[in-house]
Amino acid sequence: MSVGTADAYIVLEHEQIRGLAPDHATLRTADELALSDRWGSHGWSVVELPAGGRLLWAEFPESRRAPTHTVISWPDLRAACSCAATRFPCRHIIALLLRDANDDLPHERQPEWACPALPTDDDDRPADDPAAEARRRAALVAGMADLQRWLGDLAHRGLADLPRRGRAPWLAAANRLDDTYAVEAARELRALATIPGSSAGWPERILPRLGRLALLCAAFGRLDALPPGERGDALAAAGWSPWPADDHVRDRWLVTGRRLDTENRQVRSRTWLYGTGSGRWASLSETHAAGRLAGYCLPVGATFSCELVFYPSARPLMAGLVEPPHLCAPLDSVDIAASTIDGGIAAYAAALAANPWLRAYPFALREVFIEPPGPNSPDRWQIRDRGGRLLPLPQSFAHGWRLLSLAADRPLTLFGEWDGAVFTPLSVDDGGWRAMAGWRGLA
Amino acid sequence: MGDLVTAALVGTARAGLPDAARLPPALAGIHAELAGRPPEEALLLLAGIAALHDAVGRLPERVAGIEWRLPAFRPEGDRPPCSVAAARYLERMLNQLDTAYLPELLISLDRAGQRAPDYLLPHLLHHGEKMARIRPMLLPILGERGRWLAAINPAWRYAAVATGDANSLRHAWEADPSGRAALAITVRRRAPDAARRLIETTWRSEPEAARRELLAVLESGLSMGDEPFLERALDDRDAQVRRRAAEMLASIPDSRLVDRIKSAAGSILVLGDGGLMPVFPGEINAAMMRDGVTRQEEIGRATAPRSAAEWSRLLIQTVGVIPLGHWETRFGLGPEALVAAALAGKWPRTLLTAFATAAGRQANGGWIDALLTGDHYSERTGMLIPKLAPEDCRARLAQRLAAADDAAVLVFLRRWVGEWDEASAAAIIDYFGRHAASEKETRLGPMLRFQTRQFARQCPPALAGDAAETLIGRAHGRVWENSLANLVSTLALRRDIKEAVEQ
Repeated sequence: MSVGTADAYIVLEHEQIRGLAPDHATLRTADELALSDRWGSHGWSVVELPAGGRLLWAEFPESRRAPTHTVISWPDLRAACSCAATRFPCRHIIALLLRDANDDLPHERQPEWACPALPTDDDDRPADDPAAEARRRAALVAGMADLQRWLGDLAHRGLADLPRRGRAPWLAAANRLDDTYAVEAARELRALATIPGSSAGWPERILPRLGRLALLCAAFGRLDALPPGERGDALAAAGWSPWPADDHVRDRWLVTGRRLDTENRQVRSRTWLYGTGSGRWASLSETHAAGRLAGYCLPVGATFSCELVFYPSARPLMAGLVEPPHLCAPLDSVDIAASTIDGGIAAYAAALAANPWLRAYPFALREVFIEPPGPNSPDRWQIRDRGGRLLPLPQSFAHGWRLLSLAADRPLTLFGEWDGAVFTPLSVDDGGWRAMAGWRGLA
Repeated sequence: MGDLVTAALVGTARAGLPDAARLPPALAGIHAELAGRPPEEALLLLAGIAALHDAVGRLPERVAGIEWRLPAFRPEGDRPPCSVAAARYLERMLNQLDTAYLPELLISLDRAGQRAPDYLLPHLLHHGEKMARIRPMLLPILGERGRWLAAINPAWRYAAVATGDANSLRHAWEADPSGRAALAITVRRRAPDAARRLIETTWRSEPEAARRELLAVLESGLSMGDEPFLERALDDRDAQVRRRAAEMLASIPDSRLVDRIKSAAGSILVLGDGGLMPVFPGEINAAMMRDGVTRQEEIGRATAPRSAAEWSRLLIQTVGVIPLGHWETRFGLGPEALVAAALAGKWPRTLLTAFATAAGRQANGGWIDALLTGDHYSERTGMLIPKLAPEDCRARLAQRLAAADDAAVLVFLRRWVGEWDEASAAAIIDYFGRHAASEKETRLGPMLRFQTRQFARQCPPALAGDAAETLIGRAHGRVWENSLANLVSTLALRRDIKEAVEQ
């Protein structure tokens, strides 16, 4: 890949950089830090990196601790920071990018500590050892067969006394699944453990999900007979870390949204990309221990050119990076094929028919209006399109008033995730895509 | 799904698998296929397939009519949003950083005819919801968009009140007791009488603290129209409200209270031996007590004051109310001569305070001048400084600065409430610098340092650069250094905010 030196000097908009913030506290402190004078040595320099270009670095003095070191390389926007924040990117990374966008960094030779460039994309996956791979897979299949028996017992005895039996059996089963690499199935079991007896109608809520798990177990019963796509979906739904297939796509990818969940000291992030040439959606998932502050900054609204590989699936969405992303100049006009609510639901239905274990589907909706809780839905915000179709937003959606204020009587273009019941907005097109994660929430 | 749930609850051990005939037709084939499996396995698989069948075919709710059910938004004539830089300052202040400058920023945005940007409106409204005090300043900044938004959220109704419409006002007044004072302040600016009438509607049922707060609203725009209401408030249940009402009536020259005090105590002063002497009445009757003349608490019994402090309070409470013209005609002397006579008399300090109180209430220019110069700008008459015209105040300050009259300068610093003009502010900055640089700490040093904080809010921000030049590095000693650094950084912040608004 030719390294366009000009690409190293593309400027991100302020709002794009601020949209990187995983939450409002990070954004607020980053804004303060960018303006403050408590910076140690900082600057940018030209370096030879695989992706070429520039290195931004800064040192922040800390009281009674070693200073915090922050490094960002351009144009792949790989960042690393030594601070103690749990969510990536931290305030230091955002503040450094903000200073760079303000042209507020001197051009200097980088200090010693910034020299051994950034840790390259460390591959967590064990080296290709067919024997180990086969062992792991056998364990996974055995674990799912165990789950099938466990579910069978449940159905045999009946669900009626579940509230009385407590959560312990669920958690024990989940732990057994964890041991057999079925982490996603284990997560689902832990989520299910909270349902029995939680409210009226809990049997109606739990049975479909138990049924889906049973379907997954059944699929594992004849894993080898499945076509590769379906097999990939079943394995991914159980928690097998996906492996690359030969579905490589090189494109200019527009970052449309990022979702971050923290559970059990683990941070899971999902970044949604739209291929401006191919028209395909891709999601980059990352799971890492809280506090590991290194990775690619993919600001919502920015465009990257790179090659992605899609993991095998009947409806490929999950993908991985083949090479470092390369920030490129913003495209003049990007049509991300935003649809009406009906169009989105139809696409979701098709995807669900192909991959029954689909969790989140990207929705880009145009011409929608946001409505505050009212007589129709006393406790939820909703969006509505011109056809009168309504989608519920999450119960604790905190950005409704801000969206309403931005829109007034104009329709909005929103991007978010649809999980079959609730639409979770992640970004809004307000003269460019803007992430909502860093917004100050208002209940 | 219903039969499947029932079977699952009971358990397949007892209920078995539901009949195919009771499932949706699309699932009948699958039912037949699963018949060979154990019932518990088949039941869950059926449930899973039925759920998928539902999920794939489910359409979200649709409501009839495409009409927007929120109130119509009319952006015509809305103010332009403020600059990005000003918005950033506003956001910081709403996030509890430098919040002390929020009122100043709101006022300057209003003066510039701007409003808050769209994305901040909800936070601004939320801030006003929690802090009723800030509402009068906040309302103009919301613009049409903010008012539209406020009409949708019941918690923000305070911002959607049409202050010109009596019905809307009354409704808002009834709906939000804790926001009444803020609403009254807003209304008082436009229509003083309407505000008083609003207050009167609920006056009798308000708790004491609310009555005090509402009474304070009337202090701005006080006129003869408020007199009957205040007169009634003299009989209030709460002592603080009674006292406050009496003070306010004393500031209305034509009020009945002033007349009553004049006739009751118009002869309390006599001129003898070139000095003014008090002639105290025998006792203070109930009528005088109602008019705000206090006496030692001996409930139900009219007594004469006993101690000097009580006599002194009596003088201030009567002479401080009586029109100053009364003494001029009574003794045939002008203000200067009367001040001189008071100083030559038996109770100089008390009489001066009493005259100063009266001059302040009656805004009597001749007396203000006579008292300030006669008393050499002491703290006693300092309350008159805010009553001076700005140019007059500047000229007097310049004169005191030139005379190196530290005590008088301190009184000016302490008492002046408005913004200083650039020339005076520059002179004051220089004065601070000189004091800070002197090696010997004067007696007034601590008080001067304390005044730098207030001055930082009253100095024109344009002088920030000059202040930094004059003051940085000039201080002798740590304490002055800190105070001056604080002054310089406050001025710089205020300048940046001002420039952001003017962008």
